[in-house]
Amino acid sequence: MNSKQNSNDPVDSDIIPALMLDHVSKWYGNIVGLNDVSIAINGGVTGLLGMNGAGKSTLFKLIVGKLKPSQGTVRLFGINPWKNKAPFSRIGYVPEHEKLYDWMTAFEFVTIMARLYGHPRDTAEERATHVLNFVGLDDVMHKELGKFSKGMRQRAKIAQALVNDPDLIILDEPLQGCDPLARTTIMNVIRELGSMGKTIVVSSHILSEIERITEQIVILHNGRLLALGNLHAIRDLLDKHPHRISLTTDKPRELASKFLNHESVYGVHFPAENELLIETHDLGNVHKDMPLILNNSGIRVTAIENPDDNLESILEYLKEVR
Amino acid sequence: MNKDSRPLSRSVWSRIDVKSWAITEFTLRQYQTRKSTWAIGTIGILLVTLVLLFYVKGQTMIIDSVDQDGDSYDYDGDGYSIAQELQYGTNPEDPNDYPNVPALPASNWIDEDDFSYTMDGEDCQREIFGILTDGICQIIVDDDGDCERIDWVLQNQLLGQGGKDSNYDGINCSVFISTSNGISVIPDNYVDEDPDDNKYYHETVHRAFILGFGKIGFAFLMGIFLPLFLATGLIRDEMESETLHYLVGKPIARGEFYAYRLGGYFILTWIYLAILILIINLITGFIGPSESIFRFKDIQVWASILFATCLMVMAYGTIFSTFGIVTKYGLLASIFFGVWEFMMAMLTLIGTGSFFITRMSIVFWGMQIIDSVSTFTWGDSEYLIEKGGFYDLNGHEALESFYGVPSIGTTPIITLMISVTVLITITSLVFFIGQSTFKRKELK
Repeated sequence: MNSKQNSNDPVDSDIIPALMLDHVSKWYGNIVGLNDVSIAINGGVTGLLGMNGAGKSTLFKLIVGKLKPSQGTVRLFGINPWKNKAPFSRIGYVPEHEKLYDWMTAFEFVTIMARLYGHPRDTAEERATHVLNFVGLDDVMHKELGKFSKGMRQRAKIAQALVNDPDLIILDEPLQGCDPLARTTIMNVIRELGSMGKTIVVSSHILSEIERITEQIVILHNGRLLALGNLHAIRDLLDKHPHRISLTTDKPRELASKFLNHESVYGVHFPAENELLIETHDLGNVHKDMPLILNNSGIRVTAIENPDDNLESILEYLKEVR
Repeated sequence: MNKDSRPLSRSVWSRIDVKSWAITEFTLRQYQTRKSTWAIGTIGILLVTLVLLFYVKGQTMIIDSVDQDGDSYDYDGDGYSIAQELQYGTNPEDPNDYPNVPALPASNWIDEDDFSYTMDGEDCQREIFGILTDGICQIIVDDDGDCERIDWVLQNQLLGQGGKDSNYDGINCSVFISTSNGISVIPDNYVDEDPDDNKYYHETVHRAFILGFGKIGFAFLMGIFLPLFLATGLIRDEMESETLHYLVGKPIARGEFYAYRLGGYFILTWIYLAILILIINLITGFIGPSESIFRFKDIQVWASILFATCLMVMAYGTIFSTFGIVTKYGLLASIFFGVWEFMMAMLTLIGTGSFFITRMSIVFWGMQIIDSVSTFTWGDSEYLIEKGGFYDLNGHEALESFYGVPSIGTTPIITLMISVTVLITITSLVFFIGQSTFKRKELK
């Protein structure tokens, strides 16, 4: 992309992606927040994965014009967001922090945010009611935010981001601290927004959360872009990597004998009296055959876990293959 | 263009209008929910009430009059006052020589020649110490007529006091007010020599109260403390609580956002000040000394106090909120600035205009506005101070402490205009610095 392009030039949204970062770096003194990241995102839900301190929030703050890149260019719909309000009518941003105006009701909060987009009071109120319904806060919208649970607060934050019907929605750790019910509601909301054709970028440090929302992921680690693409493709690569499956059962040794015959299993361990740990090179293959093996054995299994199926394992793996 | 569509300018303006009022309204509601707003508001009302109680006490106090010219005394003990004996040509020192009329009470000769000047009298010139001097010549000011009486004048001449024209302005029993270098009052003998102490006291204390309360209570204390509590965190608090992310992540320029936040602050403080000043004006207007039921002329001075305080609250608010944007130690910087302003306020009160350094403050210019209008409204204040000093009347020190002559510009109106311009310019410059800093500030 031509870096000398006028940042305020109107750009055809069919050609220019909603979000584009070109060799973007951000330093805080000697600390590197983000290091030479280049991505372009247009349409659908993209999961931004990374451990705490990976640079996710820095990336988002650069996108929404809160920070100025030390190097490289950031473009929202082809427009530089730094010191420029132009692209923000098309963007909804859900910050990571939990602070809200606790003295306001959810309705007042979202209404005032709608008015900041330039909507007159009556339209703003209509929009606020609509988005609060959409995120499932319709019955509590006139309650003060200070009395909201964590999940409700997150949904109120999402509602304020949606109130202007944005084309690009940035959600920084929207599931953090939410109870399972709130997580499910928020995930449904994100999926639904994605199906409506919006461009959504959602960050998390928990792989399973992102997996339930989208297949398209970006992985950041120590400020660097580690991987970009389809989650299943990355997971397939990971599945070929040594992997462990933990089964909780009354008869771990008896069950181990059933698995040892499987072509993809190369070892078993018994870390506890009622636990069987299977080692495999092909996680997918073992999982595929597991229901049949368990059924034929007649042994009762109370829990199945994949201790290596988490972000840390993926990061470890990706670091190795790089 | 479609006949139903609105022109672009109207459309853009209405959007700005919606956003500006949204932020202003939001800011006002935020103030409403903060305990500090109510605390500072209540403290202000309590202080005003307390000071008003002192004022009421002062106005209800009766000052015993002093016979300034001593003519009410019965020097020889014959039952007749000196004034009555001189009036009838008897010897005030001879108890056997007294008028053949009933003796009048001594109180008839106390407070019988009050200050009866006007500052808008005839302009005139006269030579003082050989220098032609501009001033105002006042005639028909000898209320009790003792200056006009030949026998008294003869006595004066014996005492070497110059007779009926002791101020040598060519007019008998007159007052010459020199205006060439401040105001100097030069009366003929036995003119305005026995003023009403009680009336003088109430008038001067009333004026001193308005000026003192206006300059210190409102312009300085309210002017500093309201912004200190209400404006310093206008942007800084939002930055620190990270709620700013919601507000500036919208299609609104940060400079505009800052301006509308200040707008909310201005509305709150200005309305608060207007209500307080209106109440005080009403109370002092009815209680204060006046020939009519209400002192309408004071409205002008109170309006100037409100205007000056609003401008100062605007200037300080912009400065303090900019400190809050520039540094996280904004409150500390504001307190230091407040101390500087306090020192300048004291220097300004001690010697209006004589300390050049005071011009490097906000408070000086605010006080100049009040001084300009008070000089314009109460043109005789200097006269009162000087005559009160001469006769050592109660109240003249109070008025002298708070009265100030505008020291910038040749007339009060010019001083007023210069002061307003300076305050608006300072506010605009600081706002420009604040909003450009805010625009470039990274929100971490």
